[in-house]
Amino acid sequence: MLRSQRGLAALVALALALAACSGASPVASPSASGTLTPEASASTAAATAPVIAQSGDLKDFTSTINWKAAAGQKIFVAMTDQTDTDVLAQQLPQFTALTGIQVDYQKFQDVTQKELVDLQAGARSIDVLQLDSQVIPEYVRDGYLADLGQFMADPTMYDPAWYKPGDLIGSFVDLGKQDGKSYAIPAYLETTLLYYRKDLFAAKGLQPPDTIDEVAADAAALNDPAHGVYGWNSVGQKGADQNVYRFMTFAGAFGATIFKDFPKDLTPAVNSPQMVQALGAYAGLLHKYGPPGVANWGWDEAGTFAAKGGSAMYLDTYDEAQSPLDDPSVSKTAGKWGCALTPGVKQADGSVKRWPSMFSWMLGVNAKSQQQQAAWLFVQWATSYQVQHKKAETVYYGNRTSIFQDPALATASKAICNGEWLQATLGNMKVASPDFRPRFPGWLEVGDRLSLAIQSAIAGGDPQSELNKAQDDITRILKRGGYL
Amino acid sequence: MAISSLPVPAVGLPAHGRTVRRRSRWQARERFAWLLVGPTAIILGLFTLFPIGYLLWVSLHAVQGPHMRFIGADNYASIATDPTFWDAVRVTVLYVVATTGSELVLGFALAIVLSRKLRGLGIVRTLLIIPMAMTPVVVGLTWRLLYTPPFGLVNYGASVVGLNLPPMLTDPILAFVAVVVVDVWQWTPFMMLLILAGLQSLPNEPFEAAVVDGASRLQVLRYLTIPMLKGIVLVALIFRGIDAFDTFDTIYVLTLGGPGTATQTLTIFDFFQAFRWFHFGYAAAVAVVMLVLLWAVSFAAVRSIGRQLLAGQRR
Repeated sequence: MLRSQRGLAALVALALALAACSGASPVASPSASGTLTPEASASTAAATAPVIAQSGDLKDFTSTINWKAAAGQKIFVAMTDQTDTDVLAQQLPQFTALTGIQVDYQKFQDVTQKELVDLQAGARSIDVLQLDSQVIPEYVRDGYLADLGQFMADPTMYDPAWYKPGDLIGSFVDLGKQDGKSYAIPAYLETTLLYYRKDLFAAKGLQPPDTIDEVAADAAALNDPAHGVYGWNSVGQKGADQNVYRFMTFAGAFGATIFKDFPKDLTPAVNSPQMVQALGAYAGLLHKYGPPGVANWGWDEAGTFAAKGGSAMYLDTYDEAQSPLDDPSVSKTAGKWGCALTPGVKQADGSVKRWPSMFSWMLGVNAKSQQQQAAWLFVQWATSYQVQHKKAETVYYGNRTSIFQDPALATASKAICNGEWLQATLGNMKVASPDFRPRFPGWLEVGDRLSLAIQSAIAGGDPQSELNKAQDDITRILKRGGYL
Repeated sequence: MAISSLPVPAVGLPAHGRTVRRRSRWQARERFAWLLVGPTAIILGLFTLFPIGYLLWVSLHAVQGPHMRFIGADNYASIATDPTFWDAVRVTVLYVVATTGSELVLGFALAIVLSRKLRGLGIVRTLLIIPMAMTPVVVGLTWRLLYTPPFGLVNYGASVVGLNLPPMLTDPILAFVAVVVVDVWQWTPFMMLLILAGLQSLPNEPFEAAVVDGASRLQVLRYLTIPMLKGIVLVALIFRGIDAFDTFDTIYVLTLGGPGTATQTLTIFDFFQAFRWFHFGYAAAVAVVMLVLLWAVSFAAVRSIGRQLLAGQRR
């Protein structure tokens, strides 16, 4: 899921400088009125980043929360190496000024691996964990995450009137919940999205597709390999987080589920007629109208190919800041893209059933941390409207509905998908379900097995027989895992 | 080796002056030998034997997050009935045989050509070694690009000569060929170097005698060069075979073991079990089985080399 490859050198240097500064500079002392003295904030500002903690900004955090409750502590925050987190890091001086908490902010190419090693060893080194939303069921089972409810029950630790939890995009909040308890809060969000070439559609007089059937018709009309343009494109590489992530958008729209009745009955249903139909559609599109070799492509290859002009439509998941499509420095097609809701399947009542896949980098607190209050204050600060909105000025999105609806951001992001990106993304997020795939600890292995069937079908295999094989293997995997 | 080849101390003999002197000299030599072996033994124990022991211990457990439950040999029983494990064994054996086999043949041929004393061959030799010096992940990424049809040179090159190749990495058989080709490309020079060294250490006399006796080039190769190189070829095969058995990075980058499980070797299979699906107990058991397999094959090969060398000495 790591998206950040471009333009990072500068940001890495910046974040390093920031980390060094926040460690070395003295904590800004509050004046009698409780806000920062101008001198203190000015020195922080001069020493660090373009986004600056002004003393006025700290007033935005006025609430029942005692932000100074853990002053003087130092917390270790582990983050993934991504533009989103780099932009967040620029605001760290504000957090330290607000709370008196020093932050050791470290980025990792594979933050999940780093965290897992630490958690499994029972180490307490990481206080704030940035979590791949896929791993949360497993981490909750293994007792790695603190129940955030304990902090939310304390008015000096949490103020709903100020934090406005209802503004967070609900389906993503649910991704961080397990058995009704909250373990992680979304900080970075994405869903699958349909990208289409406005110029090619206009040339043929076509409208952007609403359903998977329309996608097939449009892909057939626009497919022109002789001129290097293929009608359709998405990810074929195997992996629960690769082709399965995109495929679930199709599977859910056709009403297919992984299990008979999750969570009551975990008998696999991956060779159900609906699943066969969904795979026929997903693999069929890529097989017939996809670029050659796409069965082995990850998002980077598929995205690069689309940006170079090889695809009329493209289903994937990109936050604006890193999408290559509208970036003129890497894209030959910048300015030609439109964005639409993920295509669905028309129902008997005329409505269209959509099932966007969703992914989030979430923030949680290590259950073994010795500084859980400080860690929670960081989580709350980083997911607050103020911080997310500031981040959105660079990446154009946040974790809240109000940020997506901010007219200023609509103006700022109008070059992305010809201004269609923000609304299409919010629309998808509103209909997306955290249960777009079963939330249970064995998902990665089950999803990985399903991904083999998808890959084979894209390369030309028969969906039914590939899924039958997957059904057998998944049954065996579940039995060995004690789920059946 | 150093210790076992020393003379056996004369224990229990009457303490005549000569014996005492000899014994104290022997003790000094023994102490010195232990001094030499000691650090290596300690480091080996710490970094090899202890982890292997721990691996064995973990392989007898079901591991879930921080919890370990003793389950005896259950993991080994699961391995025996796991078709994906046996599929990985099949792929691994095919991979090892295909890569080392091709590298041996190509390496031998290259070594014979390069052993000629011709001007400019030194440069060719140096150039041929470059692939060996490259980081496997870089090799994997580069070849992945080469194999990717719209941008890749492989399919383009084939189309220039009129061949219409399907995408290499998405067809089960072609993907296997593709990963073998990469290994052969990278490691044939290694085989070539070892055999070249062997060739250059061969005595001249038998070859001169053969020429005097009117042997043809082919006969010299068949009856002199190949038999005399047997020992070094076996050593090269063991090194390369173990390496090929352990290959991870290039395959992981090129195909992730796919399409399907067409290129999923035991190392890739075990990596997924441990670090993706978190079945540490099961993964440990697989690693133990791999260790035993490698050990058995290497042991047989080393014994065979020993025999070869003894035969050489007798001659």
